[in-house]
Amino acid sequence: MNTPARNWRIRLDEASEDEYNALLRALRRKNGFGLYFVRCSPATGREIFQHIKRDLSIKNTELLQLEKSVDNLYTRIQNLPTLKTLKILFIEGIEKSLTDYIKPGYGGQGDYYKEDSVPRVLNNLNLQRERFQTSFKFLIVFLVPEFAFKYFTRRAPDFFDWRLGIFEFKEDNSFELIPQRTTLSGDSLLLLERYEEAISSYDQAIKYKPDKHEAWNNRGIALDKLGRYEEAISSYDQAIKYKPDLHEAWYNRGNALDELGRYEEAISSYDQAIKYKPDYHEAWYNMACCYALQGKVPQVIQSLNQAITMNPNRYLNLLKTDSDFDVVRQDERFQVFLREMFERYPEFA
Amino acid sequence: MVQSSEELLARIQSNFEPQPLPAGDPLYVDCTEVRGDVDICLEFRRSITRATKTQCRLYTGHRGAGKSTELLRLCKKFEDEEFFVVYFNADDADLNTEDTEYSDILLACTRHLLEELEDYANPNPVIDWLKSRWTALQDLGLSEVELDKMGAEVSISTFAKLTASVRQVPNVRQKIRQEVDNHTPTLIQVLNEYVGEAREKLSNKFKGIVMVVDSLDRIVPIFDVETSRSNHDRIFLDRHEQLKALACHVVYTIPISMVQSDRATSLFNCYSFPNILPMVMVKTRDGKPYPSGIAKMKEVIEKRVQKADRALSLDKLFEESEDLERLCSISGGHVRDLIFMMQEVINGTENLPIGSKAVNRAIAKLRDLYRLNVNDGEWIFLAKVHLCKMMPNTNEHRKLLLSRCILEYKPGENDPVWYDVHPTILSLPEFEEALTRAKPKEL
Repeated sequence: MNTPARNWRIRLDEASEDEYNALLRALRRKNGFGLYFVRCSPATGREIFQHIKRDLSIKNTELLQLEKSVDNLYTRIQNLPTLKTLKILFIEGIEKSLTDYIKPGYGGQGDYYKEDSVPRVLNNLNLQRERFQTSFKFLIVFLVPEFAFKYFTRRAPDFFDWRLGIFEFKEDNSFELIPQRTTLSGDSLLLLERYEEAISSYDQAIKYKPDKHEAWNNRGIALDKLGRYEEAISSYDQAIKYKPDLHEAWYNRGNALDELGRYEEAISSYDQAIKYKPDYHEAWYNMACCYALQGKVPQVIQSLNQAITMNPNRYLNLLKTDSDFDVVRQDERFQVFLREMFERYPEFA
Repeated sequence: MVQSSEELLARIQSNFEPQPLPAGDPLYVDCTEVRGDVDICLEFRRSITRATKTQCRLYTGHRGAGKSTELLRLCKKFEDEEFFVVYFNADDADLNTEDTEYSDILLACTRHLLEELEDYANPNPVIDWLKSRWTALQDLGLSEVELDKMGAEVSISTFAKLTASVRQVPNVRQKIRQEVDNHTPTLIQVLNEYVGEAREKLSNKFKGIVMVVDSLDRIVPIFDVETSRSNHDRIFLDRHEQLKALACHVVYTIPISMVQSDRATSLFNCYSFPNILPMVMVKTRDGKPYPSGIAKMKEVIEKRVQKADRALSLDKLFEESEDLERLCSISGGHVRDLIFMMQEVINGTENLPIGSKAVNRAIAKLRDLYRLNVNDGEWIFLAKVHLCKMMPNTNEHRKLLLSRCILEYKPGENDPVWYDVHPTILSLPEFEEALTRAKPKEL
């Protein structure tokens, strides 16, 4: 599963590479609000931002660079023009709001983290966490140098307590140049819509373990997404060869055949899926589509009836606009059937 | 598509959120029996439903131990028993200053009561009180304060806006405070008239009004060297009369360190005994694993995992069952630490099942956080607490209690509490070194 090398200006050692992958996973999996802290120097922070932006291109990622001290970070974020479309916001430079408080006083360590004062930005954050959660539907990643990180843990503990991850990048042991590679799995690449890479990742996996039926199946999905249906079908065939009752593979195979207009084969593939999972309503519905495209009204009614009974809301709605049924829509038997369905489920009529 | 490991992991992870659970959430795990058998819901309800006069109760516990979750359950129970509940989380709209004082809390309570009881009583006495303060401030020549809106159309929302905007002008804040402070008794008086009227109107449907003020423990402690006291002392001790004076039942959340302060006894006398939510006891006083506590922590994990996949059992989730045990015991019985570790475990996991490497990484992250929170001279305090399972009543120890380096446990309702350091601290070299210094020398 080799993907193009990342070009770090600052070389990462193996530990940092692990941290980067963990950060990438965290940001990839989470949607909505989330708080993360990355302990690093400003330069490394910007590198990390650039790499995440590239590796997670499906999520709109931005960097907020604080040039000087702020009191209220909430309002600062709220004024961002791209607030609505933002998925991940990196924040750099919060330490500039803390430096004024580094001075002699009570408690703390040296002149830091004094207990007779609290930086205003932190005090605000500590009280603002609910407001952050309800207003901001994106991930917030603080890029912080060591002392600022400690300030958060000590002087904004309630805000800090809502974090979902901490990642650490040390620079002093990052001189050695190591082979750059990512360890994203095929499944991850698939979710990231990086299909070509996903396919080669699955190819690798299969090379070592040819009976990995999930890999065969998901490889088929990646091929499907690229419109390579013939190849997808043979990938599903392999999955089924190793696990004949893999109903998802039968279903996916049906869909690929459907795309190629091979309706008879698609139908028998859906039949297999249903054999192993009788309540597979998606398969019932798609089977109905194939029959409809062939104009076989009695079969359409029979399979559609199954799908609708299992999930009336979804299919009665879908049916209204699905052009697959245009051929049979004027047929009397079909219309009678529809009327019956809407009588049975008046709430969806 | 076949549910990929990736998708499942994302769903599992999304169930480990650090926020409090709403009442009735299926993820809730009742830990009462391993938290010293104290059910705050039961206790508060008993004291308030049976009370002949208004009750003021204090509630505390370690940050992230589940206080808000319990309070939200409490509110629901009160509502079920036909109490009118005013719950608020003191946030930056209420306490947006770096030097929170009692008057901020009173103004916050006033604002929330005005908003919630608006339909049941006439707010004019309270509004009038505020107006006269403004007139006085105007006389002081505080022209920065916007007063145009104080016309006849003054509504409750402008009260909120005005108090907020006033507090954002730093040099005015002190004068406002002084003015409010001087007139606290009259504010409480008009507020109580207002609450009384509402209670009267509500009496055919509700047994009473309960106000729950959550998150006051979030006021960052600021220590004053000269008086050797903190803002917490000034608010919760010096102002107990006023905090208790409202004409409805009130529950305040206070910082756990307050229960340990020098004047704890007077605190108890003033308010009756505060309710403390202790840690889930995952080990006994002499350091042996406590199976029923561990089982509760596992249940916390299990419920959240099985919300994502009902068929996924914990022994399938973890490669080594010992790793799960380790996570539960090293959490010290602190729920949010456990949740944080699970987040980190999943961040470190590309494919299921979860392996030891990811678990070790998560534990190391948590351990490092506790290490960062301890100053050089404090290791010896921690070592002594660990040795004698007691906590001396000093500012240093209170600070460590507040930062969860010291945790509080209570085996049963009538058992005494005991203290220990957070389990992650036990294996830190600084701590081990302090421990050898603290141990009595053998002869």
